[in-house]
Amino acid sequence: MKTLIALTWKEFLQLKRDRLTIRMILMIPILQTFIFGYAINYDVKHLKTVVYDESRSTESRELVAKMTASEYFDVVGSVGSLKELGDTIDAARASVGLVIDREFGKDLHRGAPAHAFLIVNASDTTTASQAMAIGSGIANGLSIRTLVQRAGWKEKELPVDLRIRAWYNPDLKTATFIIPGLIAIILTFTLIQFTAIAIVRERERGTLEQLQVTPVTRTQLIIGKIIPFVLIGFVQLTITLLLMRFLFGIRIQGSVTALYFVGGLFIAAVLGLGMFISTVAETQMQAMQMSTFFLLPFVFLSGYVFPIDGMPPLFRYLTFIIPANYFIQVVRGIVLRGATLAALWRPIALLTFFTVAIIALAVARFQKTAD
Amino acid sequence: MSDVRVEEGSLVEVRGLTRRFGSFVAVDQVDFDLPRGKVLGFLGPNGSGKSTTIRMLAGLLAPSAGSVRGFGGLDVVKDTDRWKTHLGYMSQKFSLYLDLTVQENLRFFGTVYGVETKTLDERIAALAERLRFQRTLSELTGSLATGLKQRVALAAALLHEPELLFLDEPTGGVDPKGRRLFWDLIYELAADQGMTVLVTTHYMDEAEQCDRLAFILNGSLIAFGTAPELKQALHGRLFEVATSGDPFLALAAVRDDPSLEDAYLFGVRLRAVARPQAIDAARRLLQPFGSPEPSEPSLEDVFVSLARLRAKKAVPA
Repeated sequence: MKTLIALTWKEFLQLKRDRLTIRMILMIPILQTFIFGYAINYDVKHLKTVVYDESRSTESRELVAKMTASEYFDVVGSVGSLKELGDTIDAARASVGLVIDREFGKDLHRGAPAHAFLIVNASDTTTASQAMAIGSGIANGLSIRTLVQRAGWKEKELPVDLRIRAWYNPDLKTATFIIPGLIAIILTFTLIQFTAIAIVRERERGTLEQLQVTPVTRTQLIIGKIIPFVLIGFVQLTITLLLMRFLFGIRIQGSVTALYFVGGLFIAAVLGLGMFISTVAETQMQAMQMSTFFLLPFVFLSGYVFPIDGMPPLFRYLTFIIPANYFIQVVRGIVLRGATLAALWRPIALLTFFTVAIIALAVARFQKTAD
Repeated sequence: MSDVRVEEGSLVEVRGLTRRFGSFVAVDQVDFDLPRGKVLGFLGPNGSGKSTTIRMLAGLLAPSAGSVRGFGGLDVVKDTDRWKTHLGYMSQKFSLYLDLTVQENLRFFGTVYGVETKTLDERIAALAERLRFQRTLSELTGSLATGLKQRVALAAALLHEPELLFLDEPTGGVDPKGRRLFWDLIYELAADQGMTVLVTTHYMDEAEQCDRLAFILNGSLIAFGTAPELKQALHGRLFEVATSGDPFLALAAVRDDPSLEDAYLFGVRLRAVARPQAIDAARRLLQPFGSPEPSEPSLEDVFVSLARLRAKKAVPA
C-alpha cells in the first residue's frame, strides 16, 4: 500500500511540474466544449438567397416575404436574368436561388399550377437538405392555404392533423445533441495520449527499468500509473458537465452518480488503450501518432456527430467495436432522457465487456514487453 | 575453462546461466560465484553478453536455462520480488526522475524498497553527506552536473542497504576526480558493510583494482580470478620487441610459428606470448627482429591474449 501511495504521489509531483500538461488537461475540455457547442450547428439559418422574380406580382412578393419570415432565407439581391442568378451562385455570393415564373400571380388566381424554382447549392448536403425541406414546407403551406380558401373551408379543419412534439430537445438545439457526446471525445482525446506518453517516457528515460529492479510488482506499477489518470479523467468529466449545465443550460435528467459510474468505466477503457499503445510505441512521438490513429475512428464511428443509422452496413458493424459508441449512447440516455442504468443495460454491458477486454490485453502485453 | 569456480561463503551462485534471443545465444553456460564483500569487475567488449548477464542476475530478464541462487536460498526466477529487495542497481543510463528534486527521488525509491520513513530520512542525510550532495537536496535532479547526478543515483541504489550492488558502467562521462571519489566510496562500502559489488567497466585502471575479475566474450566466461592470478598465466612468457624494421613484416613472419601462443602489435612494438614449453624457441624466433625483453603483463595483455586465443580456437586451421 505504501508503495502504491509512493507511485501515485510521484506521478502527481511530476504532473505538478509539467505546467503544459496541466493546462492541456484543463483547457481541452473548456475549449472543445466552447468550439463544438457553439460552432457545430446543423440548424442552418439565414442562407444567402438571390431572387429572380419574373412575375413581379403581389403573389410573388408574398412568396418571397414568407421565405424571409422563416429566418432560413436572407434575400441578398435581385437579379434580372437566369444567367445572372447562376453567376451569383457560382461565385458563392449566394447559396440559394429563387426563380419565380412570369405567370406566377396569374396562374395562382386562375387555379392553374403556379411555377417557381428553388435552386440550391447542394455541394454542402446539410445546408441543401435544410433549404429544400424548408422551401417545400413553405410552398406546401401556401398551396394548402389556397386550396382551403377555394374550397371554402376554415384553415383549422385540415383533413390530417399531425402534431409534432420534440422530446428531450424541444428547441432542436444542436448543442444539446453534441455536448453529451463530446464528453467521450474529450476523454479519448486527452487520456489515450497522456497515458501512452507517460509510460513511453519512463521507458525512454530508463526509469522504467530502474523501477523494475525494485520490488515493485507489475500490478502495482500499472495501478500507480492509472490512478492519477483516472482522477484526471473525472476532473475533465466534471468540467464538461458543469459547462454543459451552466453555459448551455442542458440539465442532467438522470442520475449524476450513474453518469460518473459509467464515466469511470469509459475512462478505464481509454486508459487501457493508452497503455496498449505504450507497449507498441518506442518513442513519445510514435505514441502520439498512434493515439491520433485511434482517435479518428472514435470521433467518426461513435455516433458523436455522424448518425450511425445513416452508415453503410460495413461501417455500422465497425461501430460495434468502438467503446465510445456505447458510452455516448449511455450519456445521452442519462443526460437527455433521464434513463436509468437498468434501461441502458445493453450498452453498459457492452462497454464493460470492451473495457475489461482492452485492459486485459494491455496488461498482458505490458507484462510481456517488460521481459 | 569451464570448470565451476566455487568459493567459500559465496553470496550468489550462478550455474549454467544461458540466455537465447531466437537462435542467437547471448549468454552461454556461464558459471561463477559472487564472493561476499568483494568487488567483482565484469569485463568484455560491447555486445559480449555483460549486460544480458547482469539483467538476468537482477531479475529483469528470465534465463533460458541455468540457475541463479543466493541470499540464503532464494532463486531469481521463483522468488523474484524478494530477490530484488537484496539488490541495488545503477544503470549506465542515468535513471532517476529528472523532474523531481533529489530529495523527492530518494524518498520515492527508498519507500518503494520498503524503508521506513524515519530510517529513510536518516539514511538520505547520511548518504548526502558522504557523497557530498547535501546542498542539492532540494534542487531538480535534471539540473545537476553529470558527476553529481551519478552520486545521487548511487545513493538511490544504496538507500535500502543492499547486499549486492550492480553498477553498469557507472563512471562513463565522469571526470577523473569524480571517478576517484566514486571508487573510494565503493571500496569503503564493500569493506565496511560487507556489500558485494558487481561492476562493468571499460577502464582498465578501474578493473585492476577489483578484487575479482570476470572476462566475458561472445557470451562465454573465459576467465575468472584476481588480477594477479590472471596475469600469472602470462608471467615470464610475454616478450616485447622493439622491432628494427617494419613491425608488420615482423609480425607476419612470427605469427604462425608453433612456439608462440599469440603475437600482436602494441603501437610499433611487437608483443609475443610464448607457449609454456617453448620459451627458449620463442626467444630464438624473435631475436632477428630486435632484442626480446620479458615484459610484465598488463590486464589488457591478458585479455587481448585470451580473446585471440579464443578466436583461434573457434576457427580451426
